[in-house]
Amino acid sequence: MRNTLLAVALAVLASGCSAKRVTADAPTERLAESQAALRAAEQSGAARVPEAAVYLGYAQQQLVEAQRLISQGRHDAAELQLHQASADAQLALALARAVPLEHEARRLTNQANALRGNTR
Amino acid sequence: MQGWKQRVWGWAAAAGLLAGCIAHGPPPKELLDAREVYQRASANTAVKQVSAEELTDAWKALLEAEREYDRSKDSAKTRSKAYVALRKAMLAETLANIAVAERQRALADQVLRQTQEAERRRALVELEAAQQQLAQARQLRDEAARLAEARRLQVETARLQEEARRQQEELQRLSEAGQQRADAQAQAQRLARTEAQLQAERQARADAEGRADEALASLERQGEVQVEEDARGTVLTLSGSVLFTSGDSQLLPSARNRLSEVADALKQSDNLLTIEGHTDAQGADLYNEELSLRRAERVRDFLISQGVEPDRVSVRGLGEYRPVASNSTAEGRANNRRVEIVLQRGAHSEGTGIGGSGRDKSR
Repeated sequence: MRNTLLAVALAVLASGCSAKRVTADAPTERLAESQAALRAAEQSGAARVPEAAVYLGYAQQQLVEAQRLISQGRHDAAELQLHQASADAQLALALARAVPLEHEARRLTNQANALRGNTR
Repeated sequence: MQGWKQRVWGWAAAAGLLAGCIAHGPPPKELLDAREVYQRASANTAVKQVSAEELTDAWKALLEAEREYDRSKDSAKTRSKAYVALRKAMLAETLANIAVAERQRALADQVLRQTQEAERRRALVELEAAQQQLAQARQLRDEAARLAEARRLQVETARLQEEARRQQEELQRLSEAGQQRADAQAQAQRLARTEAQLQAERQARADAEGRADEALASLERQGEVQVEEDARGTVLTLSGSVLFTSGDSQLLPSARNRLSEVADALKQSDNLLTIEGHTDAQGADLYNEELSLRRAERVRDFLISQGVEPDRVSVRGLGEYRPVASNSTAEGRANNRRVEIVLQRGAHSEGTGIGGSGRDKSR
């Protein structure tokens, strides 16, 4: 019985230790997500849209920073950087689509208005 | 549902900010920006319609940032979470902007297409109208050409008809002229013929009269017949004593020889003859009248029997009414008993009256 209690206590201790170690693990999954988000933004042509390019730049810098932090074992700080990088990459992707679309919509609207003004 | 929750949290955050300000100084700029943009995004109807999920994510992120701020104040972690919350709010706005721009683009595109379609239709209508006008113009031109041709033909036809009519008239005129000439010739020939006939007849009559005159002259020379000219014509007087015995109307045989000579002379002409019987004053008037008529008839009958044409001859009995001498002497009475043959002048056919006017001439 004592042995059993001891075993349980050890297990709890072990599990507690292992849990603590897990949280301190390198945020590889988060890193992969951020990299995927960045790649998607790059592929959407965000670099060619100035408004998007700004955030794309932030994302790239933050990803580099995160990788540096991971290499230093500062996993919590790295995870924060990765969150920021993902948010910037997602925003860059959306802007890469939104800004040209807004330009086109404005152009077409002006054109339509001009044509309507001409014909009527 | 989500809206009022977020608003409540928004107010809570504002209250927290106020509390934080008082307690710990100003919150980091990232958190202020995140709050402001989130406020703006949550008030945007397009965001609520299009990117409600992202707005919720932004709200959760802002909530985390606020909690972290409560926990650790202006720490690196707080700034990082506020940074993420700000980006998520911006993402929600951007996605809404995309939807709005797409809608605008679709609308403008539709307007453009409609306008272009209208333009195209208008152009098509104009083209059709122009083509129709062209076709009409062509049709008019063809029609005009046809009319001109018809008019030309009409004029040509009229000209030809006129020409034909003129030629017809010319022919008619020529033929009439020919006819007239022929008529005139025929007329002239007829006239010439008639003239010649008349001439011949006149000649014949003149000849006949000449012959008769000669014959009568011959008789007169023999002293058997007295020939005179008076108003009635040539008068042959035959003594009654030579022809008849007194009171009788039978011709004496000696009279027949003379009368046949007279007949021969009379046959030379075809002039009308009137045979008049006359008596002396002895005896009754009526008797003398009848006697004179009978004697005239006897002479007539004899002359006819000698070949004188009957219809040349007429007779009258004049009795004792036209004596040529005195009835008181025998010689006078012998002279009054006589037969006169009046040979009228002119042609047989021309003579109408018999005996002419009264015999008022004394011998």
